[in-house]
Amino acid sequence: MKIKLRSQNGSSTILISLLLVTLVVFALLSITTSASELRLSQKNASNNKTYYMLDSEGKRFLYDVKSKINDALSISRDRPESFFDNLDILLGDNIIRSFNFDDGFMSITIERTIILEENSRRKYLEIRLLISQPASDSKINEICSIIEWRLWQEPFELNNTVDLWEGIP
Amino acid sequence: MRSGKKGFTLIEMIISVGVLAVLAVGIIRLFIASEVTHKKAIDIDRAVLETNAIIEEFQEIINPSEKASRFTIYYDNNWERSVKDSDSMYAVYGDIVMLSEDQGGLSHLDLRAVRLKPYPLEKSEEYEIYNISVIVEDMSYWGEN
Amino acid sequence: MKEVHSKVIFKQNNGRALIETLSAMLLLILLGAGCFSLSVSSFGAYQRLNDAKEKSTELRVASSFITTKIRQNDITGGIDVKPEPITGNNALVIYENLDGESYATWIYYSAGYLMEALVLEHEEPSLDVSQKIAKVDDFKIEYNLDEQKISTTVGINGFNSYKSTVKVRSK
Repeated sequence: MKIKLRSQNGSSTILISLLLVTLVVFALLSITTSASELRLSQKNASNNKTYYMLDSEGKRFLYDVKSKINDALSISRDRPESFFDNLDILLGDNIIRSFNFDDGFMSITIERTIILEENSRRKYLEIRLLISQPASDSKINEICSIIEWRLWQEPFELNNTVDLWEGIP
Repeated sequence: MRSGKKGFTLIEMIISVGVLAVLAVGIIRLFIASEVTHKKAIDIDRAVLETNAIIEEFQEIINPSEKASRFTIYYDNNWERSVKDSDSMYAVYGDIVMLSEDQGGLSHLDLRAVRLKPYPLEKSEEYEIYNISVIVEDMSYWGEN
Repeated sequence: MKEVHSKVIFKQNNGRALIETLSAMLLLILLGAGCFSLSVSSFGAYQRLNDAKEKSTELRVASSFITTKIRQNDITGGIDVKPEPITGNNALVIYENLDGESYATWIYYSAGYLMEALVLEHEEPSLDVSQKIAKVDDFKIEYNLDEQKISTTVGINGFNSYKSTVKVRSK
């Protein structure tokens, strides 16, 4: 007499396979969630770096202006009234400036825009400096003050156009 | 003649539990990897905040390269500043160098945030979380006209 | 004859005995309970991770929002920190000129949210005109005028607290 034992419809196999599917789904969801969070963190860090790159270029420009102010002060030590004329010559053609006259005091406003292009998007740092009339004992940091050190970028525009023939935006 | 005996086999259950155990190891590794990735994301955020705080402290510092050319700040597991000990989990290495002789009023500040101990299931020690380089101005440079 | 009868009673009927069926069911129930608890644990792990991710996202958004707002409005007279009328806590106020009109953007904390309100300069913000920026439990902002540094703290109870410092470059 042969005795054959058969399993009971493979119920444990079905149970285990369902469990595995559930575990895999949750594991994949978790890893996807974490990966998206990491991408956001990295993007935030990258934006921060971009700001400081612009800031560093601004610092170079500020240093350049201050060194020209220092030279102008040295030249006009004997004739303080010629300070702005000397500074105007030293600043050259590349630096945008405007002369102001308020309450009998003269001043120069210097403007510079620093542009950084990243991933086909531009970020700008707008710098405006005010050079005021130096007194006999004025320090350079008092003569040159920062009015504006502003970061801005082009507004985000959604590009949902599709090339009819190529099929790529 | 077949007796037609039907019985529930333990073997099937043992095999299926064995397969589950083997595959569950891989699935648990996925969960651990997602936790590690989440931790890395938080570490990047913290590193950005801490390095920004250091950079902003240097914004109006007097004679920066003479004050400290190389420095290290240690942090515990919660990113609180601490002394260097066995509990230190993170460090920010700073390096400050004068830009050039011609530009004595400007200095280059390099900051590197690292994790001193490896993440779970990872081997690399001193894992670099974030690095940044900026230029800082020496406010005392223009002290004299 | 009696012995044969008793043997017949205890003999397996159709290949199954009650105790065998019960033990098989018990094992299956144990297996099912184990599988169920494992799936509940995996769901719990995912849920925990998702909650942590949402909280860290809110903190990141709040912290970088403030920092970016300061950097984007770093102009003389453009930034101030003063108590806002709704809760009396310090708020970040950004002044700007749009189409010839002076506006003030108030960034403050109210009822579990970081809020932003754009109003005319002489007006006071209210919840009606405010937008929710991020869900946080704590928001503190201070302006050190001597050092020109704005210190901000945003936090979520039981999770984390992010502190940032920004030096205002403009005088």
